[in-house]
Amino acid sequence: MINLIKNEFIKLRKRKNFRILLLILTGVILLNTVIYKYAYNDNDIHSSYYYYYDENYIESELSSLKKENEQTRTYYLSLKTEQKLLEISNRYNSNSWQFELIHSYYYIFENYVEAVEFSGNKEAITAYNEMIAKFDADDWKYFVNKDKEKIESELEEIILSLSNTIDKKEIAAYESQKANLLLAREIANLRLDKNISFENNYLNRALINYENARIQLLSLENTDEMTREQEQTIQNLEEEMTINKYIVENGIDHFKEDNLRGMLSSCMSSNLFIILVILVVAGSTIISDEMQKGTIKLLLIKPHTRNKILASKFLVLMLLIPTLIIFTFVVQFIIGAIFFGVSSIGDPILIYHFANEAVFTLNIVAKYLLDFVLVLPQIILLATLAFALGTIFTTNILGITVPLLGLFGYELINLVATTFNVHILKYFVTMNWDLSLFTFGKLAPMTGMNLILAIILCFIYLIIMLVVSFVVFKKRNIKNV
Amino acid sequence: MLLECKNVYKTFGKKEILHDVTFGIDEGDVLAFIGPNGSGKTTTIKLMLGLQSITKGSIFIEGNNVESDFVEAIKNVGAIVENPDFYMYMSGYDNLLLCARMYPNVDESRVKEVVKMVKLENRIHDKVSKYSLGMRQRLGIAQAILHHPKLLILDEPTNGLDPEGIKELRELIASLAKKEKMGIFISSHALLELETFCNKVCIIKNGAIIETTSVKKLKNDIVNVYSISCSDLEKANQIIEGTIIDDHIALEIDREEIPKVIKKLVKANIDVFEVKLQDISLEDAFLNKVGGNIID
Repeated sequence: MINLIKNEFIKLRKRKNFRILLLILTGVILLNTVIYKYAYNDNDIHSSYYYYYDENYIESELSSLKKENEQTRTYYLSLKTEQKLLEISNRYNSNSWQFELIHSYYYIFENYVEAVEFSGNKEAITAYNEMIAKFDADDWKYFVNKDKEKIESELEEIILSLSNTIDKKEIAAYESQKANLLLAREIANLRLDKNISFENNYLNRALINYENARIQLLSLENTDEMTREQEQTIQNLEEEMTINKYIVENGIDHFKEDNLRGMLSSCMSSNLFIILVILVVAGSTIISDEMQKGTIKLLLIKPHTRNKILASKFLVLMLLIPTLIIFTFVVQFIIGAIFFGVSSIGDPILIYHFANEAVFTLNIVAKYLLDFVLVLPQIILLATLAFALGTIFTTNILGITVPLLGLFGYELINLVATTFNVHILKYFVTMNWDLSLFTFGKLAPMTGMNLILAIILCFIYLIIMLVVSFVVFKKRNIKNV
Repeated sequence: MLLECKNVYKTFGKKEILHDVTFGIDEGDVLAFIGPNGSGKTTTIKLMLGLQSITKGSIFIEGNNVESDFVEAIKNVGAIVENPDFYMYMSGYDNLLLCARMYPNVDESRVKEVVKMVKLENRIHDKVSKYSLGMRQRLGIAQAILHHPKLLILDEPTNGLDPEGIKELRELIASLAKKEKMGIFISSHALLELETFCNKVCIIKNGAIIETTSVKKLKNDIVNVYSISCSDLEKANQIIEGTIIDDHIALEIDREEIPKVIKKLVKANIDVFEVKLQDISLEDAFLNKVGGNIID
C-alpha cells in the first residue's frame, strides 16, 4: 500500500499541469504580496472631511461678491470660512490629529470669520486664537478635556431631569441620552489614559470603531422581540466592539494587512480558491486520466485489489491537502518576509470567542491551522466530489466543472436558504461545510444548525460519495481505448 | 494447468461478444490466439486479467479463480493489453520502476536486467512520449516480464515492430518459454510471425473458438497457393482453371504440377512473367476455408 501511495505521488509530481498549477499558486501569492506592498492604502477609515470647493473656485466666487451686499452675506461668509479652513488644514499632514479635528470646530472658524469681517466680536477671535495655539502646540488633550467638561455638564443636567420626571417615555429618552453621554465620557477617558490622539492611526481607528459599535448596540438594546438577523447583527457588533477594545487596551495593530503578519493572517482566505482548484483538478484527473489514456490497465493487472488501488489514490489526494496548505504558508512566509521583513510576526492574532464574549490570542501558525481546520470540510468535500465524479464518469471535464460551479454558486444557495428561510436547505452540504459559521458559540445561520450536526452531515456526504466511487470502480469494465 | 478458460461467455447489453470460449495453457506452451479484428481477442484477454467481468463461465490461473481470487490469480501473470500504454510524461525507466514497486520482489537490478533483455538500454531514460510504437512495445514486454511471471499474455506484440524487432521478439519469447518454462499466450491476426515457435493455435471468429489445434496439424491442412503473372489473363485462366485476382491468377496446386502448368501456358503462346508461392499465413488459409469474420 505504501508503495502504491508512493507511485501516485510520483505520478502527480511529474505531471506537467500539476507543476503549472503550483507555479500559478506561487505567482498569485507573489502578486498579492506586491499589491499589498505597493498599491495598498490603509487609510480606509479616514474620517476627514472632503472639500467641496477648491481654492481657485472660492477665490473666483469671492471676487464676484460684494462684502457689503446684505443679500449675499451668508454665502460670502461661508466661502470665507471654507477658505480659512482650507488655509489651516493645508498646514497639517492629512493624517495628523489637527487635520482630523479641524472640521469638528467649524463653528469657531465661522464665528471668527464673522468677527473679523463684520462684528469684531472679541470672544470669537480669542476662541479661535486659542484653538490655533493648541493646534500649534500639539496639545490634543486640551480638546479632549474640553469635550469632557461639556459631557459632564450635560450629564448633570440629564440626571437632574431624570429625578424630576415620572413619565415613562421621557425617562426612556433621558436614559438613552445618558447612556450615550456615558459612552462619550468613556471614550474621552480612554483617549487620555491610553494616550490616543485623533491622528489617523490604528489606535484612533480602533477607538472610533469601538465607539460606533457601542452606539449601534445601544440603539438595538431596547428591541423586544429580535429576529435571528438582528441577533446575528448584535453578535457581530459585540465582536467588533470587543476586538477593537482589545486593540485599544493592548496596542496591537490587529487589522494591519500590509505586513508579514497581515499577509499570513489572511493567507488561507486569499489562497483558498486556487488551492481548491488545484485539488479539484488533481482529484478529478487522478483516476479519469488513467482511464482515458489506458494506463489504468497497468495498475489493475498488478496483484492488488481494485479497492486498494482506488484507496491509494484517494489517500494521496487527501495527503495533497496538508501538502498544499504547508506549501502555501511557506511560500507566503518567504515572499512576505522578503517584502515586509519579519518584525511584525510577534504580534498575536485576535480571535473573538462569541460564547465567552471575550478575545483570545493565537500565534500566526495556530491562526493558520485554525483557519485550515474550519474550511477543511469544504476542502475535503470538494476534492472528494471531483474524485468521485472522475471515478464514476471517467471524464475529467465533469469532475472539474461541477465542483468549480459549486464553488462559485454555493454562496448563492446559502443566501437563498437564509433569506427565504428554506428549512430543508439547512441540511444541504454548502450550508454546513464552513465550520467558522458555528465555532466559538457563533449564532448559526439558521435555527437548528450547530457544529456537531454540521460535522456529521459533512461526514455523511463524504461517505456517500466514497461508497459510490468504490462500488462503481470495483464493477467497472475497462473498455477499449 | 497454468491457465484454464472454461465455457466463458461475455455479453454487453444484448450483444454477445464471447460465446462458450474454452482453452488452456500448460507450462512451456506458446499459444497463438488468432482471429480477425473484432473477433473477441482483446476481450478474452481482458477477462483473463480481470479487467472486465465474466458474464458466464470461469477462468482459472494456477487454479485460482480470476474473479473471486484475483490477487492470487494475477500474482504470476505479466501482460500487455491492447496498446502498450505508459505514462508518457515519465521516462521508460521511471515507468518500469513504478511497475516494479507494485510487486513484492522486484528490485532495481532486475529492472536493469529486463531493460537489457528488450534492448532499450540507450533510450530507457528518455520520456515515453518520445518513443516509437516499436519501442513502447519493447517497454511493454519489459514490464510484463519484470516479476518472472509464469504466464505471459501478449496482445498483438508485433504491432509496430520492424522485421528485425519481430525476429528479436520471437527469440525472446522462445527463450522465455524454454528457459523460464513460462506459458505464453499471444494474440495476433498474423500467425505467420509466430508459427515457428507456437505449439498451439486457437482460432477465434465472431466470439467463438472454431479450432483448437497444434501448429503441425494446421499446417498439414493447408494447400499451397501460387500466383502466376502472365499476359492475357482470361485466356490463361481458361487453360489452367484458377482464380483471377487483380493482375494475376491464384492457383491451388502442388509444387510438382508447376512445370506442367507453365508448359501448357507457353504452348498456348502466353508470356509467363512470374510464378511464386503466395505468402499466405496459416490463419488466412484457415479463414479462407471457414469464411471471413463478420463484424456487427
